[in-house]
Amino acid sequence: MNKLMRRRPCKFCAAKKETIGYKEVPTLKEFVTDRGKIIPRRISGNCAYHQRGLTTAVKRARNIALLAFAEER
Amino acid sequence: MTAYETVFILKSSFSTEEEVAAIEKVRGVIERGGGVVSTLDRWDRKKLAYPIKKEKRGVYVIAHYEGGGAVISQIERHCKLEESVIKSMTTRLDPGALGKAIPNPDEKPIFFQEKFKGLRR
Ligand SMILES: [Zn+2]
Repeated sequence: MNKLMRRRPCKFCAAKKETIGYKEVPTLKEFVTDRGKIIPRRISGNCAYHQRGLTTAVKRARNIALLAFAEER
Repeated sequence: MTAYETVFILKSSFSTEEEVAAIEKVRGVIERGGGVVSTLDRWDRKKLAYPIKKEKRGVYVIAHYEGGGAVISQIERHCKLEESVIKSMTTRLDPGALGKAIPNPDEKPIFFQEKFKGLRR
């Protein structure tokens, strides 16, 4: 639990990555749960700027069937 | 003139010739709409994350071009009428990114989840 609550730095800032494209599926999958939901910022530690870009990218990827809207379990 | 990126998903049951023909049709549509094609490339044959029009797989084709609003309406019309296109999506593009359409398969993803895999959320 403690591990989850500890503030972690934004992964995209750390990687010096300015933008996130919807075609970068392996990266997008890292920030989506097994069920296909976007992981909230408070868990991933992403900054507001990168979380916004990530959200847009995930939604575009879903639109064009690169990602699922919801994964059955 | 605005830069755009359009992804087309073509039917995966096509032969190479049919595929090339479908891609060239797209080129014709963009040019007829007054657009200037920068790149028009086949990305990959992929499994769709969910079935579209009963298709489970599709061939992803990415077009980079510049044009006005007329091109977009031409493309949307084409995708509605043309049976070879399962689905398409157009997004605005930073002019500096024109031509860099196909992602580099060797690029390392940004990891985050390894330690969370299996966690229910
Ligand atoms: Zn950031």
